[in-house]
Amino acid sequence: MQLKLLRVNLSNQKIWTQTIDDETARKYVGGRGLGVKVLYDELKPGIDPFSPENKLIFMTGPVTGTAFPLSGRFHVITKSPLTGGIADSNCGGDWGPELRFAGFDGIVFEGVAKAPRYLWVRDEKAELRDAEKLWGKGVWDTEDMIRDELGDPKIKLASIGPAGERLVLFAAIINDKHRAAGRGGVGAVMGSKNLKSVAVRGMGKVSVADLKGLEVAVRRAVEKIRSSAVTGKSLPELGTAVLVNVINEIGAYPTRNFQTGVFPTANKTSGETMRDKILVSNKPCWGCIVRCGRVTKVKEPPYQVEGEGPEYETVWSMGAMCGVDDLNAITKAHNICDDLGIDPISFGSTVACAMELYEKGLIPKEKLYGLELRFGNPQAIVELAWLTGYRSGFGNEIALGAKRLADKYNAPDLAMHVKGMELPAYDPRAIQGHGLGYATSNRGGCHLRAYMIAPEVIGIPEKLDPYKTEGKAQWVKTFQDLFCIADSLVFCKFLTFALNADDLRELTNPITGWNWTTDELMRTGDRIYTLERMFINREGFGRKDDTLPKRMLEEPLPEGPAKGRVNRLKEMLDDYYKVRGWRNGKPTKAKLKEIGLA
Amino acid sequence: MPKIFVRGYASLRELLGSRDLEIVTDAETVGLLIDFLAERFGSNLREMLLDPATKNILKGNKVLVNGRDVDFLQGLTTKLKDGDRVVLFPPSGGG
Repeated sequence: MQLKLLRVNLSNQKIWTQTIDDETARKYVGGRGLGVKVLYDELKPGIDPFSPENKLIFMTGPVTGTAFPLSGRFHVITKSPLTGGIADSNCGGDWGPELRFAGFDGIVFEGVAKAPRYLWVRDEKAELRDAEKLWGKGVWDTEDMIRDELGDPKIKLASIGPAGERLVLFAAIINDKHRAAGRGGVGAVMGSKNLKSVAVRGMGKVSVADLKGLEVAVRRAVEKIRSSAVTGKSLPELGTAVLVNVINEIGAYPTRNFQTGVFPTANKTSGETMRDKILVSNKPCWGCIVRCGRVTKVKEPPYQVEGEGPEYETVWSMGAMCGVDDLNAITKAHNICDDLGIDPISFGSTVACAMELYEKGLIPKEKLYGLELRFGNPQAIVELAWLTGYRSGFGNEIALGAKRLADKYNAPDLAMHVKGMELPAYDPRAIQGHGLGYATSNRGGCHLRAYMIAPEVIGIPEKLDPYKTEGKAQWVKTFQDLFCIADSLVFCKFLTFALNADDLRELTNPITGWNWTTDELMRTGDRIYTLERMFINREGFGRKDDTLPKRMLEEPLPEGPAKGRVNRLKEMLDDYYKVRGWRNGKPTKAKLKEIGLA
Repeated sequence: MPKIFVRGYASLRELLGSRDLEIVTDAETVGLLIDFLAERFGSNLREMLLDPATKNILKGNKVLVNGRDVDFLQGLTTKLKDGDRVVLFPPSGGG
């Protein structure tokens, strides 16, 4: 199959199309895989992520917008201003399929516009339009104004808010008002290019190789999705925040900047409590039958808000991570992040770092202009969400991210990050393999490169002891490769709670016509992960960066079921390099040859 | 008689309520505790937690004793003592 990319040079406003041949598509698939291939081929190492040379890529995959279950997603890839390595971010909602209906599989932006612009893509045509009146507006107003201007309420938009415009290092791209391509500062790159939004409308259809074959495979898959207890029951009923109590009860719920793994009032911000107090209805991404999204409403002042979410990561990052258990305040702050375009994981993690710095007397009070920056203060997270989005007051310092903030106040060990990107909602001292996943993630502190929570906590596909390190390296590699495929075909990773690699191959082949074996599917994932690794190696990352914060390696958990434990990364890392065919964090020549990268 | 604290989350709240229950019981193992709870709160609990064929804990369910998954202790034969806390989860997932 061939893929069609829209290429946009924002500096000279030229727009053209590029065809990706079947051979390249087979090797890199689409989504994350094709995105990293374009970046690797076209970017020189060492460029400034905010320079015209950086490319911002929006990419769907071969299954986006088809009957393949949970395929309403797309991927954003660029060089990260937060880490200096790769930033790539997966996102749901309706935008991805709409781009394919408009006749394009992806868009590659380069250059910098001389004045604010947005791109309007409709049925095989594209034009850059004036965005001066939109610059400075939040995402929600931006969407409404563009739909009004273009006269079509069904237009789908992916936009930045003030945070991206002002280059907050963890600014996000937000589509459909509440879905986020969140991590790594992709929104800041978009802001640096003076690009406000990408509006899409398409009336076309997506064709597949074997429609009848696909229908059979989909029917089988849907049965499995419905009968899985996770995708069929717990996610639709309670959303992702169903995890809050599980992770807290095993003592792995990072609290007050990872100072402990137990948050006594965690249940006040759980999926169960969300359902009791603020849930209005479910919200699915395009074509999804799991419907884990939450439409929510807080009625009580002072945090009244109507919107979507929060999700597990947000309820944690602005909750336990900051010592806060006020669900209303968290929901308000989360919606501010959606409107202003901020990654809530990095935001909450950076606020928590700031709280610890302040409590240890390292941030002078005058810098805060009266803000009470202590753990447990719900007002602080709401106020800082606003301030950070506009880079105002102390928000201007939060906008740097945890690593630069902690460096600035001479306490680098108080930033909980890997490779410069803040850690998410699972303490690796209580979950060993998940720690290896964090350390070896190409994009930095990330739980989704290798979601080891599935085997080590939930028990899918099988239960592994979270306290042991043996055998975890192979598991981490397998997850990383499989999730490369998820991000490149582009489907939601929650599908893997119900389907295995064989099932996914059965669903993919009728769409692509590639007749993959399961082995070829996994090898393609290995190739993509390795190419990503080559990209970050070229930017200077190696073994020294495949590590965890000092707190995770040397400070035992002080309480809870995993009391006394640290992450034993050194017992797993060499094993991981061995199974990967890497040496000291870099692929060997033999490995590159084996997977067709040399 | 020993006192065991029991908590159920997600869909198990419907049977067990939203707080820690203090249960006074001479059930010596996790398996016997589940039987005791099933008799008190309804046999739905047994169906929700256990595989009828193998009589073991259903895949994806979690039973914790003092925060540790019983699959890494002695399974349903894990012994209980006075003051232990048992937490029950149906399968959960997320990101």
